[in-house]
Amino acid sequence: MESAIARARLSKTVIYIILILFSFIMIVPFAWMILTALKTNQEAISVDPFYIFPANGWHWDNFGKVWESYNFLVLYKNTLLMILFRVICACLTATMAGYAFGRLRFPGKNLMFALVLVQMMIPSQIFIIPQYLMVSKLGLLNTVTGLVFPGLVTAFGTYLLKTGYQGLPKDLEEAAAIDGCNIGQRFLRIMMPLTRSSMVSLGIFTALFAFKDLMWPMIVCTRADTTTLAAGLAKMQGQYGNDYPTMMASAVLALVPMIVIYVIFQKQFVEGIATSGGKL
Amino acid sequence: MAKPRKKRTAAARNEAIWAWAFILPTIIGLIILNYYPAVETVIQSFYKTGDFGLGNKWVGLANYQKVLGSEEVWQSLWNTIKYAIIEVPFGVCIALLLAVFLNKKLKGTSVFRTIFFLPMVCAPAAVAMVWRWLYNQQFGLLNNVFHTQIAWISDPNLAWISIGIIGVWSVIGYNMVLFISGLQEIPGDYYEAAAIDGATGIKQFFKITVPLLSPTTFFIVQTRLIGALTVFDLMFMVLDKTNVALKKTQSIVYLFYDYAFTKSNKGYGAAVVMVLVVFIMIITFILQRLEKKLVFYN
Amino acid sequence: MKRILALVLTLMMVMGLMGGMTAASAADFTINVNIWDSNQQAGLQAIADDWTAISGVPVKIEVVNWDSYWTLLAAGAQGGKMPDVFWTHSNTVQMYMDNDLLLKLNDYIAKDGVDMSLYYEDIVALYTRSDGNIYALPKDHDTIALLYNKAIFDKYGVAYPTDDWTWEDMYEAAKKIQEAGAADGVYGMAMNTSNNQDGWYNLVYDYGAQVITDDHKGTTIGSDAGKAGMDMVRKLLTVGAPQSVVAETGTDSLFQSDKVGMITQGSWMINSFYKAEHHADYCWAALPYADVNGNGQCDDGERWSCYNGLGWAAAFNTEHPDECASLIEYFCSVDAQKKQAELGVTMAGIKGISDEFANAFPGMDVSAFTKAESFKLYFRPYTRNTVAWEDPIQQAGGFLDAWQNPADPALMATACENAQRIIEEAIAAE
Repeated sequence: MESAIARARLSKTVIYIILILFSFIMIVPFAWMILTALKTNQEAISVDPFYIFPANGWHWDNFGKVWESYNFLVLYKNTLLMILFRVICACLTATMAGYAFGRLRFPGKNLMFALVLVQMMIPSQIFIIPQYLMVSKLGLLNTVTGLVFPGLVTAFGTYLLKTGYQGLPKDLEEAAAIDGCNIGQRFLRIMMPLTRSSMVSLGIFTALFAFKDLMWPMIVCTRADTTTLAAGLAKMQGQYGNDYPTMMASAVLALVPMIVIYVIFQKQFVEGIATSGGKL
Repeated sequence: MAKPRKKRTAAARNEAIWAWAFILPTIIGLIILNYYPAVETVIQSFYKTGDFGLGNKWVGLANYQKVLGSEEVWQSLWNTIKYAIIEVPFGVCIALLLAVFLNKKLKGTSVFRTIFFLPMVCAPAAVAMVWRWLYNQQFGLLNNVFHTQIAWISDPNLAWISIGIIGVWSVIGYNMVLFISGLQEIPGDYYEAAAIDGATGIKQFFKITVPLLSPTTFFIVQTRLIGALTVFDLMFMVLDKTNVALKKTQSIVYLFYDYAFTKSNKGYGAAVVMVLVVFIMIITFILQRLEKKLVFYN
Repeated sequence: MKRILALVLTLMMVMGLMGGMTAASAADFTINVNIWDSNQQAGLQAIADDWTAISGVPVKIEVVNWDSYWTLLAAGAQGGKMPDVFWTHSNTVQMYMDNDLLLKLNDYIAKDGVDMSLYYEDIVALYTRSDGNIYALPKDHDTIALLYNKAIFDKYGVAYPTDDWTWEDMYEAAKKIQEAGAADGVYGMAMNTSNNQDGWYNLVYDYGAQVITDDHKGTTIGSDAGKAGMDMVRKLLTVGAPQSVVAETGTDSLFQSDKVGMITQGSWMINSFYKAEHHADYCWAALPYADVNGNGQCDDGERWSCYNGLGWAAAFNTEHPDECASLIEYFCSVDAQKKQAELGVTMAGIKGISDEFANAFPGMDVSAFTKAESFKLYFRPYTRNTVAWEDPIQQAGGFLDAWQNPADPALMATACENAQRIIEEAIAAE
């Protein structure tokens, strides 16, 4: 009996050690990023990594320098707008299509759904050049619309929401039909509100992947005042190249907003991602 | 008996109209944004792109001949596979381990969960920048702490592993969250019954957890595998143009970007992409087959 | 959920307001200018503002780094939305001119009486198409010099570089520094394959070969003379920082962190070193020469410096061609060119304004660059589609292989032959 308890306690300790070790591994890059951003080039290159409190204090001016030479406010704005519109478009189109695929019967349903499924399996790189040419012919280069373009509809979202609708009880619709609702009203008033968790899930998923997208914003928005955070960072790296403190400062400025939002809304984030995976 | 049939038809037609209205935006979007471009890319791979996209010349299979005979392309495909070999298994196993730990009723799990998920909300561009500095041969943190001079990202034999490590680091949190959600769906009774039968923790893990978790595991492996095969940001941001390890580390999507946009040779770039697409389709096909054998659905 | 929505909507409104506010304060239209050198941005914006004071049209200068500049300009050219005014470079200008992507400037030059004879002839020739149409005005020219860190030389007791140095002298000094400084992690010199214009190209010419022949249709880099030049580069690399280090950290960063005794650099980079923390230790000397005939003095053809001349051009389809042409002419006028030199931005495209530049950096003697004008100058090697060979020779399969192991002369000789082949194939495909 006692050895079982002792064994349990030992395994608990081992578990904690492993968890703490991995937490450390997760955090070290962030800590290092912030520390480097506060040094000068000279100090960053000094060989002692634990040089946390440099002689001349922390160089907050690195942040100022980056903020001035690169209009971060505009980058935040563009990124935010892109995310916002992608999320709205994704949720709107996916919820309608998801409802139709999940609850309605109509000719050609299987074929159309096959279109949705197949798209999810094709790597996106095959779309990128023609999408780019389309956007430029439409004169949408360097615009938010151009940024949103590939995300106007979403096969993944459609699939997710279809599964969500399928999971709802069958009787709801019959009850609504008896009450005299047409399909549109059924959808709007009853069914859609019930898929809230799937929608949140889709929203978070879309937002996260829009935030991280690099190649598309890089080629579509080439001007510094129209591009997003990810692409802007890539440009900055090209410009500051090997001035690591400046680059780390710009990385910090790029990451902080999303991290703050994440920490505040972490429960929703985690649940959202879990649901998006779990439903499939 | 004619009356009920007519009613059904009218109702059915009404439903069909609504349904088509609802799916139309998505379907049109998919056709214009995805299917048409896919066909365009295939067509473009048969042309030699002229200056600035003017004067494209039909060259038939010439691009493909060059691509299929190009050592660079096959090397980059192999590089991509090597990266996937690191990111997927390690990402899945470590995440599973952490998920099992966090699923126990221990104190502070939400703090750990927050920390582990943190890399997932960070733009790969920024992540790559930080790791590039960590890996710096002269002044990076890793070499300083271990008092070594290892060329993490400049040694052709090592760079792919280093980049793979960044990939694993970024993705553990995401995989873990999915695993936790999958674990929570396994009814506790199974474990109780097994414990009564005298099964140890590890045995429980392999006999109960793994099989019941297999749908989730399969989903994660499939999405991460395709994600790993299309990796671009990490190589693009971490490896300098004159990095001697570039040829042995660049992914096939990196090569695509280089040809299609940096060198403005969109025809050749399109051919490179097609190689990747075919490869991914083969993998997807294999995975679908394996799913039937390996995944245990309730 | 509601909380998130509310927060997001509020943020959106704020952003929208902010965007609206900034839009309202702008003028009727703004001329967008693209350049790739952040060092020049401040100075050029000052000059542009002078023009704005006269013309009433605001100008916005944006820096796009070199690697992305051409990708993005080409993308813009294809999609029809290029910046209004931008820099042209010998690497690509022929392609742009051949495809009619630049605004033709002849009429404006004639109308406004711009005196083309003021500019360096080679640069004017570069930006004139074969049919005589002029598509860009010369913006500047630059030369190369040797940059050294006095403090490091003092610390290891090595004599400073002089203007009579040969590359062998440089090798000896770098060797002393490398050996003495090994314990401190200090290198004698540093050069990457990407330091071509400001680095190894010059040795090729000093030893009698050419990276691109005068007709822009061939190369002699694989010749014995070319190999001799690159072998001297190889020798220097044996007393310099390893390639993986310069690839990861960059020669300029290494130098500014006091880890390298000497590097070669171009006049467009002076500002960066002038503003660095330890600029008091940095000095410029004349680029060394190659004593090929062994007579102990620098003869004609033994000391070359690369020079390049950028051009100001406008997009063929800009909505404001008159204003753009006016801006370009202003940038290339005597007054603005003088100001450009005085501000230490770069040396002028107009002949004879070197002195202003030499005096632009009080406390730092940059006369080495103006002295370079007395050397033999070769224009930065270009062909119709320069990037097609310029990048590959810097990478694996080109000189990168030789850079990995400087101790092995055979590698460098092979690399020269490979480079010859790469360049010839690229030219053939043009």
